[in-house]
Amino acid sequence: MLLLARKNLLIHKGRFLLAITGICSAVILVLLLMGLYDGWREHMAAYLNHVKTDIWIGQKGAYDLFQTVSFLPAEGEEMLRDADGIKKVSPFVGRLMTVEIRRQKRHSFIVGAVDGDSGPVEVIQGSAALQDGEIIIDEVFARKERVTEGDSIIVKDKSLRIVGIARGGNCFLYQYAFVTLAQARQLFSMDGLVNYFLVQLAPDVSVAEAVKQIEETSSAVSVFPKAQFTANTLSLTGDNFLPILRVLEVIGILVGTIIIGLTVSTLTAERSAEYGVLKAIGAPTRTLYWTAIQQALLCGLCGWLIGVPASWGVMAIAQYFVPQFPAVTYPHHALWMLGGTIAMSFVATVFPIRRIARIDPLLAFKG
Amino acid sequence: MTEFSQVPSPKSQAPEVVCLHEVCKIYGTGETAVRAVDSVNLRVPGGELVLILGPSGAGKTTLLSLIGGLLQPTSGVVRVAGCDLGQLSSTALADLRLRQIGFVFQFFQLFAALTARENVEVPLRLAGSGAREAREQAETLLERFGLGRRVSHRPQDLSGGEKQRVALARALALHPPLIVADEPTGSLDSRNGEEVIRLLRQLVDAEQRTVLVASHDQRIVQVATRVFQCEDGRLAEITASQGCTAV
Repeated sequence: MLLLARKNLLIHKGRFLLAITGICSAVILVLLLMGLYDGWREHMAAYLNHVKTDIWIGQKGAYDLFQTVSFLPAEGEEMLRDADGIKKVSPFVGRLMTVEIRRQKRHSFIVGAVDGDSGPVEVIQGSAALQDGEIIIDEVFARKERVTEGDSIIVKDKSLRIVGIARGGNCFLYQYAFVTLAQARQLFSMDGLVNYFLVQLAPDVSVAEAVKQIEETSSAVSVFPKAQFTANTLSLTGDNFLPILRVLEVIGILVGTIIIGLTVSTLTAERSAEYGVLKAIGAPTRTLYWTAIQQALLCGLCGWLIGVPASWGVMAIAQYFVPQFPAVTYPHHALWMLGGTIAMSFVATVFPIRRIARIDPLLAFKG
Repeated sequence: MTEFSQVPSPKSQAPEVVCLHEVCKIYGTGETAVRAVDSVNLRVPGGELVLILGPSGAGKTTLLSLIGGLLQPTSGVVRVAGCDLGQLSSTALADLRLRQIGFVFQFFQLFAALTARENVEVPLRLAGSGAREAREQAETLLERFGLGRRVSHRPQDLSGGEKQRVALARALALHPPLIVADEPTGSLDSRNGEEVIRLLRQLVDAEQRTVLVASHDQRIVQVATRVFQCEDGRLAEITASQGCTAV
């Protein structure tokens, strides 16, 4: 009965196209949100994953990079370096700052980069070597603010020349930028202070044991394994923002289901007499139900087939106009959406199937 | 158990295709109840064309619906091809309608989105035929009904006569022993009506099928094996030849 399902569906091409457009929009919406969800997490974590450390040490009570405050005396570095099992200690100095570009106030999380430990993920243009008075900005920030290598930005009345463009530093709300450690201390007025210590352990030392040992040595610090600190940083934003995306995804799925359901319901109502004839000539009930399911699946799969590449296009356009839009595309998103579309199609046939069950085969005798 | 011996035996020795025993169909209840079919007994052996005449609202279509297994009687027993329809599950009943009964309707009831050939393929595909097999059988049937050049046309592009011939081909696709036709000439002009009557008679003469027709059309009287008058839900035989008995 696939033939009848397909041909009845296509008999009103305009309506079919409208239905496909609606389903396609729902698919695009859900894929964008899925891309945004994963993109957010990836972008937020990219720099923190890149930072060369096993342990983050901050002021007691500090919990993450963005939302809690941490100041530690810089001399702590010497004490840590002397401890057993520690391979390297680096100071981490970073803060969200207001920067000025073409007299416009903008925000950037400026880090005082130390060697390769806390520098950018990857410099894709210009130089990775920083001098005082220079800054490396993120590519998203560069595109968003239309600045490039050689331009200057002002941070706290100090003009910094852009010497490099880096990738992997987009946190959606703001992007990372990098200056020398001395420059950062001067900009933040943090002489003799650091925000965190980055600790690399010797190969044979367990992270858990080192954390325990440092916490026992000093009650004035909070110590986190790298993964834990990254998770803390993500959770404070992610726990509040990402569930909203999930809610919107559910709404997208519901919209798609309703569109499929309406299309198949309308078709079922219009073709009641034909269903009556099918019942009269001996079509088993399950065949009639399957006809409605096939129509729903055809609508859904057409919407998915168009919606998936369309979502890539929409994402590219969105990122062109809004560079900080952190969405990513993965094949598993499309596959997940395929499963979602099939599920939507089945759910959407609940009402048409109830309608079909009630159709009287005696309709076949009527004009 | 129903006592079928109470129903008068047909004169013909051919096995019964349709047997109704004290069949009643009542719509509604209490004072508003309508006896659409009232205590009908009927035995139709194979190879006959039985015509049921009667005015609108007399109960002809209800009777055909009962025989076609589309309605359950309020009381009585309906047997088709040896099966007591009241004892069948809905799935078995659908299968019986598919394989044992061919339906022809006044308004053709072809599937508008399908071509003539695809319309005829529907019962074949429902019965499990493969696509190629169904296609070939449908084309052969349409060829037989003079529609060889119209196989790819949709119903909207066919004349009334052509549509009814497609409907006949669809009804015959699975070679059912019983054809149930409700006003098969009702929507046709005189010439096409006569053609359909000729085809129905041919099914009886050439293939020994049983054809049960409900109609106003007096032309069918001339080709019918037996003619019954249906009035107020009751059936009365008005001519008798071989093998059909009604009470």
